[in-house]
Amino acid sequence: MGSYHASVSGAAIHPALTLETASGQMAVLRGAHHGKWATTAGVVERVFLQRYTGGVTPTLRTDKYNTRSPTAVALGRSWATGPTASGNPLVIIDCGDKPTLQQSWRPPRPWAAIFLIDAEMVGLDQTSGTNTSAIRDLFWSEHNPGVDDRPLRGRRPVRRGLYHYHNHANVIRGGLSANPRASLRLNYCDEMTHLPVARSSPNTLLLVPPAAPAGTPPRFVSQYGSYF
Amino acid sequence: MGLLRVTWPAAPALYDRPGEQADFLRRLHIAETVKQDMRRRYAHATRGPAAFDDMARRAHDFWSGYELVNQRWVPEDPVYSKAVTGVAMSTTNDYWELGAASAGQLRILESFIGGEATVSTVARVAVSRVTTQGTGTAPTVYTPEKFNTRSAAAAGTYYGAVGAVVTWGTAQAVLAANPLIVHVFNAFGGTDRWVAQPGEEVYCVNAEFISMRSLTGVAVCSAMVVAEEV
Repeated sequence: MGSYHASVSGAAIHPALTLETASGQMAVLRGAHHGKWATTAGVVERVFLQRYTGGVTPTLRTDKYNTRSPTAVALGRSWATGPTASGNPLVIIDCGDKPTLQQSWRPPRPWAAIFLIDAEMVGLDQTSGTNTSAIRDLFWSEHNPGVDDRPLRGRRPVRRGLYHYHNHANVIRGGLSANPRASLRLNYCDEMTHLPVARSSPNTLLLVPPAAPAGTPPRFVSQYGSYF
Repeated sequence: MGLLRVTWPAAPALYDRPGEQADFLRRLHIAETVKQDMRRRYAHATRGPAAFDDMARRAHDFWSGYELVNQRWVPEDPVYSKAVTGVAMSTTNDYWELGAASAGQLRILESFIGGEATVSTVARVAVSRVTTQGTGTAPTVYTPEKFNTRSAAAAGTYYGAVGAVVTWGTAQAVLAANPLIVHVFNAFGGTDRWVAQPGEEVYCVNAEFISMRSLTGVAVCSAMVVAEEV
């Protein structure tokens, strides 16, 4: 497991920078776009991260944040023919007038990173223009179980717990739930109502409050805003 | 929770899997064991009659502890995003609207909006709870993007196309008088990003909805919201 970075300046194709895996897993931990325009006002652009497919064999471009990290699996920078966008933007990094584009995006939680698994690709793209005066950065970590997961220098990996295993939870729980936490929530009676926990959907985690008769004291909601 | 006398069940055979998968299974196993013990104690403690205040306090303690175990040991839940790009704001229609499943919950981790106007324009945008859902023909239902393609399909409902405001056929949703979050920026290149601190997440529970709508200004903007279904 290692942490890597790549940047590109002056790319004239969409997307400007792509990140993809041949196999294994990676988590996109930062995407940044820094424009260098000084005077071009009144030109609107939008910078975002989106999944992509296809494209030509990219030029690898990788910098290790730790020189002791294993060799990165892949980072693509497509120059000849851009890949095809898939779906809608995952994340909008920045938008607005060209000279103002200076932002970056980081996952709001460790498990809210953008994950790439087995040949999936994410691109840092813009809405229009060639944007030859911008620098884009992507920072990511890689995780390839059984290959490079051995901790270096006897230490445990720094980013333990980055990956969520809904598919593995499915295996463990016989496919009942795609959510590892949901699978743990057994039917149980609420002390206040003596009604069973509802389990009507894969993501159901809640007690379903019954309609309270008039004059009933308000039901308790925990400090976390939910029953579980 | 106090000290727990836990009888640890046998670890699943899947423990011998490599790397973080084994780590996840280990945490899952620990959480399940602790929660089973908590449930046993709770069931035992609630056998007899009790005053309402005692029941409320006991339920508070139990569910708070239960949530704590979940958050500590298995915090990972599926994460989704909803985007709106290059659309003029509206003070009557929502920019996006999302809600939890009828028996489920989600929480908002991040809300971003930025202006794409070409002249200076004030934008004051609120994220508010929906008090009365819109009526008539339902708006376009958006398929949220998964942050991990292995996640299940989102259980909640995400209204609004990527290139349009949310439009109900007859009447638009009625929002709470006081917003939860206010984004204020100059739409001529200004942006605003709100990221929840741990514990600060905005929750939607059991078909509750939350939306974004302009309070002032109808400039062209782009926005996205990141939600975790828990």
